[in-house]
Amino acid sequence: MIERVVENWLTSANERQYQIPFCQVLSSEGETVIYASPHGALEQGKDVITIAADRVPCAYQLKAGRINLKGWQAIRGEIDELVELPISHPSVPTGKLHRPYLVTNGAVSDTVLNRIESTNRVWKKYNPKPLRLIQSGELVTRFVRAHGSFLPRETKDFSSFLELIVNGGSGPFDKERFSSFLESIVPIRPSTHVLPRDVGRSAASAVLLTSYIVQGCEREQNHWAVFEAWIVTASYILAAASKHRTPVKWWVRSFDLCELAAVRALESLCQECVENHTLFTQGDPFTDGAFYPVRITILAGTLSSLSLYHRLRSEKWEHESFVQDFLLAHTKRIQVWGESAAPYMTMAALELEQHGAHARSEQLIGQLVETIVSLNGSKGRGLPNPYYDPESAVRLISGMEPTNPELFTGNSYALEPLVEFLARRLARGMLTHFWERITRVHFTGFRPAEEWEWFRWRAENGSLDHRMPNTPQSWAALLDAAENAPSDVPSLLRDRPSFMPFFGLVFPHRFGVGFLRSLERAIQERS
Amino acid sequence: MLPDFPKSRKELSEKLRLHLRLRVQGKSPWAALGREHTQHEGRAFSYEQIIDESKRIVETGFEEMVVPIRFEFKDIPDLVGEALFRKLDEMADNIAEQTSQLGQRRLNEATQLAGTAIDAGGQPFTQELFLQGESARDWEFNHLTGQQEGVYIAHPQTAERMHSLWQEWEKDSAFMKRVAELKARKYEEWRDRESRRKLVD
Repeated sequence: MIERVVENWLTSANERQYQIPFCQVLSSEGETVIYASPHGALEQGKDVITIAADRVPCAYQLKAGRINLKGWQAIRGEIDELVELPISHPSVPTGKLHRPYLVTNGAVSDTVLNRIESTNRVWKKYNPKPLRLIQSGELVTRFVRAHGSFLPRETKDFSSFLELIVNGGSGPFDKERFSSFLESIVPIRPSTHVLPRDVGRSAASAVLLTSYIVQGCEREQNHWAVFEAWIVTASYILAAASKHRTPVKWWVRSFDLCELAAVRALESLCQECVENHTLFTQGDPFTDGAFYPVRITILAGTLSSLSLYHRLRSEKWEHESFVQDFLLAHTKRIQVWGESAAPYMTMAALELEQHGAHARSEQLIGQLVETIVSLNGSKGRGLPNPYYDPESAVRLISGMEPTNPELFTGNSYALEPLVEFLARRLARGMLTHFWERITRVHFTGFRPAEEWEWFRWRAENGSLDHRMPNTPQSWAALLDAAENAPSDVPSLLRDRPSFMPFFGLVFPHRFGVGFLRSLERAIQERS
Repeated sequence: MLPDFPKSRKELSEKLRLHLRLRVQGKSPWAALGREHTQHEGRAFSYEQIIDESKRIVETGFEEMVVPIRFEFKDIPDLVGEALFRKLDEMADNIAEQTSQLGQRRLNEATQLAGTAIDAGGQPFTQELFLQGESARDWEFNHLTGQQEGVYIAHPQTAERMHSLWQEWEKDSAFMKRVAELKARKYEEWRDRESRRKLVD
């Protein structure tokens, strides 16, 4: 059955879509992936560069579909570069000969096979290692082998897998169902110790399964959904690694591929925004107004998180000024649909600060605090908590869920980290203004019992802590607390600061005091 | 399997659950007045209690409530309309009773700890007992109207008795003067508490 799934997926994927899972297959087979062209763009004919187990560098060029003679002639120049030009990469000694591979998820015609054979004799004077061909049949076999035994076994898991695949792909990603499915693949349930090799294998399988599952979203170019899917998978890899204390070398390649796939999705989203000429409106005009502010908030958060990601990696990013313009022009349209909007708005505020827009940044957080204390400090339903994603929250507050009786007044998950955010910026005036209303809302936060459960969609063990804001509150004590070192944040997250903005958006229920302190500290250290 | 309609049944089930919940709230003041919080993950929770002006953290977990329900296959086909709502009402009675017992138990524990619990020891409800009880607790007032806020929870018979007693006591000017003095004092205490909701140096 899995063969059919892989085959179907592979047939419909383009070279960009199967690049990351192909890297995972190579990695599972013992090659070290040292380069995967980040934008899918061809560089010297090499989409993927690896070092094989025998220390020989390998260069792969990926193509989609059947290659006939006409197609071969069209790509001949690129293939020449792939074979003849030596690999130029810091990890490969200059002049070291490489093995060139042409990979296609389709088939290659016999005429082309003959051409390759004869051309290999010509190329020999530049590179004695001949061009090798990998076609769809071999790819399917290698993909299936890379899964090992880490495949959905129970009928319900397999059915869930198929349902995730056939999901239309144009709506928000079903993180809950996907997480539940991943828990059947990544070994986090057993209490017995799992070997590092098995953690690595399960991570590799999770990467491949994610590729199959997001194909519908990719077809629809639903970049936000693709981004969320990859971050959930990356988090589950961290969960397994943290639970079994697995050394980094066993899982880091899979984690990095997830992060790369998530970054690519956001880069595509950013590109779509850059090229947008409809003021970010979309679809039926009669219904778009209700969701427009939510879309703007999501865009502000995701684009800011991508910019922060590059900053945290000390990388220059070409769209930095676009994000700045977007935030300055559109943050007035931002809407707080619920507490799961808090990380989005905070990422936007942190990014605005990087452009010197401190007043706008604090105003944005002030707006969020105002909304929380107004709605959760008085009678009524209150603001949906962070366990409600944007669509669920909008449905709830618009009366589209008449049978859901959940109330949110009296407490807030995001309020305490936001208060600390303002305190760290010495916004005493704003906090003085709010404090009376802040005291009418309890600070709430979930504390997973063990570090690894931080990375699960829902932790099984842990405590939901409610605290009353102090009456009165000493400014000096508040400032002191806000400047304290981050606590309770898992080391695997603290050690990956560039992953934190993404994790905060996708797991808004983990956005708390420790998380925000940790993220801000990382940004400060790199500024 | 036999022909079935899971999607619609799920929707119906949600509506019935909501009905049940509202019935429980109608029967138990603890369910109606208590602050609700739905916990989405984990098995424990903690909250703060103020004892003698200082905070204490209470760490606790969930308590399971069990309502036994018995269905006979032969009855299921007719479990619609009034019969269905009768069944739900039976469940609501049971849940409401357990909720009230739990609420009462937790309140007793908290008031014992805070020293605000008063045991009449089986003696009749008197003016002194009333004033003693009122004076032991914090009063809340409405910010806009200045009216005292709060709800008395009592057994229906006790509530009736309290009501008739109050009608008698209202005619006692000396007692009402003491009530007015107490209210003035409690109002000042409330204002004092409210004035502390601020950020200071």
